[in-house]
Amino acid sequence: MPAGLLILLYLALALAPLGLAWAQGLAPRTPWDELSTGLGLVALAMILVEFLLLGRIRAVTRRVGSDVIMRSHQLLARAALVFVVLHPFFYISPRSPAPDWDTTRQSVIDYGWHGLWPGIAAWLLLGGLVAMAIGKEASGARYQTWRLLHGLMAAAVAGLGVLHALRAGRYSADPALAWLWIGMLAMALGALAYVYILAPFLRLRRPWRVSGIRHEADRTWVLTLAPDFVGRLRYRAGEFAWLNIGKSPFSLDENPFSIASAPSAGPELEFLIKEQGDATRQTGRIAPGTRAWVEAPHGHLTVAPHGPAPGVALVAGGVGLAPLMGILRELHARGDPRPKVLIYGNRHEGQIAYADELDRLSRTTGTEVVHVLSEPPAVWRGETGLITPALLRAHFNRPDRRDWLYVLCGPHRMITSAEKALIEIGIPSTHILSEQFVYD
Amino acid sequence: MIDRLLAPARRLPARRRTEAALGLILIVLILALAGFALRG
Repeated sequence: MPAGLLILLYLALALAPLGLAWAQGLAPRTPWDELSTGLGLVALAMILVEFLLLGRIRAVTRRVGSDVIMRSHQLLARAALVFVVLHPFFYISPRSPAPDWDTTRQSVIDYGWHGLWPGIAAWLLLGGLVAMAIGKEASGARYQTWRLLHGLMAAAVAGLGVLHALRAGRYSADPALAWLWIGMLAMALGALAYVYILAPFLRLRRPWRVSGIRHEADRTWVLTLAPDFVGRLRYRAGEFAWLNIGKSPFSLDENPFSIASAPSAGPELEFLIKEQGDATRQTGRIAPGTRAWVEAPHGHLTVAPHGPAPGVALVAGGVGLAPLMGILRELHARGDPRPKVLIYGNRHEGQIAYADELDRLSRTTGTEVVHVLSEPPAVWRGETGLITPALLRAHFNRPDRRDWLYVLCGPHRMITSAEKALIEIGIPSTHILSEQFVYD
Repeated sequence: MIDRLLAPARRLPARRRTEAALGLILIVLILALAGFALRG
């Protein structure tokens, strides 16, 4: 069970310094002093492991999904912050240099300014770092600026935290624990360097070029990329890529988009992009031939690993159709005989993407395509309103559809309500796939 | 038996399952901290 193994691995890393401290066999101080020290040891280990939960390390994200990893990164950082904030306040032993007879520093808290200042600096910086992350949306800061600051501040917190442990720690004075801290710091900074320096450097050998851009629906474009290298991207239908168009591969100016093409269709990648915000407003002006860089594949919105479900239901809201289109195309290309239903919601008819292709798939393969419009035209034969629990119940509350695989993509509220409705009609949540990158 | 144990998890949306797993991690960390502080 990969997710279970990841949890065990996380616990092993987060508790390793505490375990080594425990194994030293030093006589414990008061429980309050030991609690303070333990909080510091666990918090620092959690902070260093956070660097592996970046959402960009595929060995991790492909097992449980980038959204799960990012949610874990966010919530575990908050837990670490609570531990860090509490860390200095439970010490009750007198703070003074240890007397000659107390060689293991059992009776006092013994550190000088030399060991204290990195701890205070890390303590303050971590508070700022988490506050900045929580207030990211409200601050209005450019995403690229925020990412750069977040990375630099996190690296500073990690470095200062380890320096504090090495200079002030009673248990970290032991060489085994000192080397563990140095190893974990190297792992953390190495992960950062891999994502922002080494991986972009390796991408220099795999340049892409914009091979086409076409208007698909209201403020929605189809962008295609072709590899300018020998080879292709190995991906599964439904995964997503970080795209950097027209910038240096080292630029932080990249954004995630679902791949709408089917892997079996060839080496070109297709993306369905809606103009919504700074990053996508200029999509229609991208010139064919523009250099592009692709960091992929990511995500776990894929049908293949989920076994032989007797049918596949896809529920899309707006541009959330993109990964589901990739899945539908791939299933069709492979001649998958299972019944398929696509529920596709939009506000008005002009927003429907791939209308002709969906119509063709519906006629030639028997795929049931159900369009839902909240502002339908006067003459409309599809469903109206939103993708509500009632609508989902009408289509899926049937015994023969209980064991199907359900794949959801769209606005956060739609996914949440659809997931709840499906669970209420008895679909096991393990048969429902979704990715949500909206957190609090 | 295992199916019965996992039944509540099967009714949790993915997001809640993630949060439940993180809650479990926190409980283990806190228990380890308590053990460390109270040893001896």
